[in-house]
Amino acid sequence: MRHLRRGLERDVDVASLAAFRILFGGLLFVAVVRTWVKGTIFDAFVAPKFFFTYWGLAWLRPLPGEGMYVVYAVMGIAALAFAAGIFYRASAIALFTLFTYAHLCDVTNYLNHYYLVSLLLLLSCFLPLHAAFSIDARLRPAARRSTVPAWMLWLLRFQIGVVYFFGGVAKLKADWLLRAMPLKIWLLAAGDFPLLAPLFRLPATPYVMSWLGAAFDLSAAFLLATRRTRPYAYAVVCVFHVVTARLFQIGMFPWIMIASSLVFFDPSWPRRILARLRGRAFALPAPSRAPLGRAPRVALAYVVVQLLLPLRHVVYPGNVLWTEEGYRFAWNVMLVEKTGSAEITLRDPVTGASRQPRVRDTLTPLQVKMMATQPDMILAFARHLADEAERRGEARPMVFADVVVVMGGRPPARLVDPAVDLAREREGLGAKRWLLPAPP
Amino acid sequence: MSALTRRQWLVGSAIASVAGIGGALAACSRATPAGPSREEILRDVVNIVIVPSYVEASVTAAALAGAAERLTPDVASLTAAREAWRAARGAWKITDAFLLGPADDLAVTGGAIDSGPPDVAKIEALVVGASVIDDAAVGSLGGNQRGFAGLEALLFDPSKTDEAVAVAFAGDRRRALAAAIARDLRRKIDAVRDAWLPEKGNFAAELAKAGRGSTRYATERQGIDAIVNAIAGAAEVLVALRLAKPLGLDVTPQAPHPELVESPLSDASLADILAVVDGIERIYLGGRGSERGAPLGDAVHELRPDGDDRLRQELTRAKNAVALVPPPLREAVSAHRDAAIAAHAAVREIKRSIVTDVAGALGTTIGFSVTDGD
Repeated sequence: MRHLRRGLERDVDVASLAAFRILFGGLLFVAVVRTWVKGTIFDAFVAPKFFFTYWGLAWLRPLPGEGMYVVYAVMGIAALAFAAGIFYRASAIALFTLFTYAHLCDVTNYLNHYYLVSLLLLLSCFLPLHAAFSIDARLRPAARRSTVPAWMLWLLRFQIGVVYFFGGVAKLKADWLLRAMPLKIWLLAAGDFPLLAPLFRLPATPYVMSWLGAAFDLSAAFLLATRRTRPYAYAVVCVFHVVTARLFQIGMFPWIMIASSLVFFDPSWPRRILARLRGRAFALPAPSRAPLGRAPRVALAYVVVQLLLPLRHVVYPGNVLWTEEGYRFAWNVMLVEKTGSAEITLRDPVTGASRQPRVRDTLTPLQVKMMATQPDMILAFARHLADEAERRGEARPMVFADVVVVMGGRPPARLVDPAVDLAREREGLGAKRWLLPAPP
Repeated sequence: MSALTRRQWLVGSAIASVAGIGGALAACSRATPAGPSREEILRDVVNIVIVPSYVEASVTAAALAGAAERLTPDVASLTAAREAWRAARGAWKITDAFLLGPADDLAVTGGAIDSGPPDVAKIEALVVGASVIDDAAVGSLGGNQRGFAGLEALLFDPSKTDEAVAVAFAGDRRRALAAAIARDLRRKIDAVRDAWLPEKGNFAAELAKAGRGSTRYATERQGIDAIVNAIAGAAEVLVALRLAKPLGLDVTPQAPHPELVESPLSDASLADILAVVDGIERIYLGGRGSERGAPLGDAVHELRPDGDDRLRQELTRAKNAVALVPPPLREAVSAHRDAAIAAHAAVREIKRSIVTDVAGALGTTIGFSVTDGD
């Protein structure tokens, strides 16, 4: 234990953290531009008439009118400032706050890699990533530091490693390992993949790739952290993410992982490269550090939370891929192929008169798709319809959902008990008793 | 173990792993999947179903334009024009099942082909007015005064006898307007056809070569997504708009709304629905008439044989259920409500199977979102 503590407290070069800042900030700027250019700001924040809020955050809404465009413009500027290391703390805090706010406005938009970006930005608010290779460090000597305690570097490594490791743990399921689902579906849909497409059609390929994928995820963090295996592991990381980027529409995730995984290399790697480029001999900088205060303890608490959060699904009954209770914020990355059809019926409790509103009249196509397989969204929408009816002066209707879902090649099955009045059910952290079991 | 030995061990392990995987793949290489490749499906859907369907729509639109030019105040010419309208309408409604690309591009269609219901009052005002009626004037009309809707208002009026409708064509302005609308409709349909034809706009290649040089569909999967979303969208429109709304299933209390049927004046509502179901079937089975290609259904069958069987049966069941509704639909929503509701339920099953079985087996993103996933 003492040995571990000494190791975490020793001084390490800040250079790799600074390189992480530059790459991460640059990628976030590209992500903001991409979001703007693709029209996603309109689709996600302007077009919807209804927003699926997170539990406890029902008050959170996108800014009206052009407000979200302003948010993304500020985010773009903050990302550039973050990368350049100018007004670093302010830009990190602004970036974290705005990015997280934007992605908490609607559950529809949840993605694991947005969650990862938020966590990395949260850590960036506290870590001195601007201590080198930054405008702040150049202009303000007080901000300059050549080394940081190793635990700061390991905290970032831990955060990246957690994504891989829990992504691997999530794959240790019969569907993934024994039925090769959903890779069997996804590989057949990639007949245009350069060179490898013929291999994808072989029956063994999804099985081999499923097992290799799980093994890769489970071991990546450890192999990256070990000096001897690091170059090979990083090469595999690059190949893996480039392949997934070509196979799936997963936006910036592969590039963020490729860039972020560089933190596993020797902390001085940027200085070594610069020294080589300049034709000079590499020299380790002299240690310089600031007082730590309670930071290590807070970091330890953060680590504990990050280790427990992905495992919370074990307290819920049923298959997490089906019920999605404890599914988000748990690194269930590219794990399941699920599609559903949700039809809602409102019934007057007095007259018994019923109607089936067209879901698309209220929700965007993406919201319809997401809601059709996610129980908390179904409940939120059912309650919303009941609330709206009440607001119009009608008696609070009973709301029933007929939701048929296909998951990973299993037969279609009802996700929700169609006899349960969802208008009476409450959202919360408890298990949803109105969910039906997954098909065998 | 020395450093050199460790390196040898690592390299050896890597080679052994690659060899093992290669061996496993080679061992299974004889057992390739039975279903068609996505490339074959896209190629055949485009070349056997979509392009010929637009050609067919264009031919029938040309016949309609001819029949409109020949309109006189006699019932025979009116009947011929009505038959031409129904044929052109049926051919066009089939293409509702693959509303993607040029047909979904306002720059090509101008929203002027099928934007019902017709605004009869405005059309009649135009007939009795004094403004010039020519191709340019028709080109500036709203969507509900031209295209199929505009012609429907001129050719059909269930409140009048055929003779009364025919006699009205004694007026030069009515004849001129019908002819001009039919020419305009033909031009618009030809524009969509041309946009697909290989020797012209060649959107056919954009879809058929998805992921293989297409600028519109960067991956093969996007191409498949496009056609699955098209049939899912067509089924959704049938269920929610063409049937649920006239039946009043979406309101409380559930009361019929016959004014919401499609093609209300010609009573082609049920034929419209059957044509769209036929279009969905053409896409799913990859064929048209006696010509058969690589069916999308076979790719579904590869992973979900029960789902494929179910959808094939549901397509037949839905066509039968719609055919069993006594026409016209505007009366059936009240007088033969059970039959109309049964048709709604049968079409709903098609939609549900596409969204679940088909999309689930093919890994399709229903909703055709441009957002990322993980």
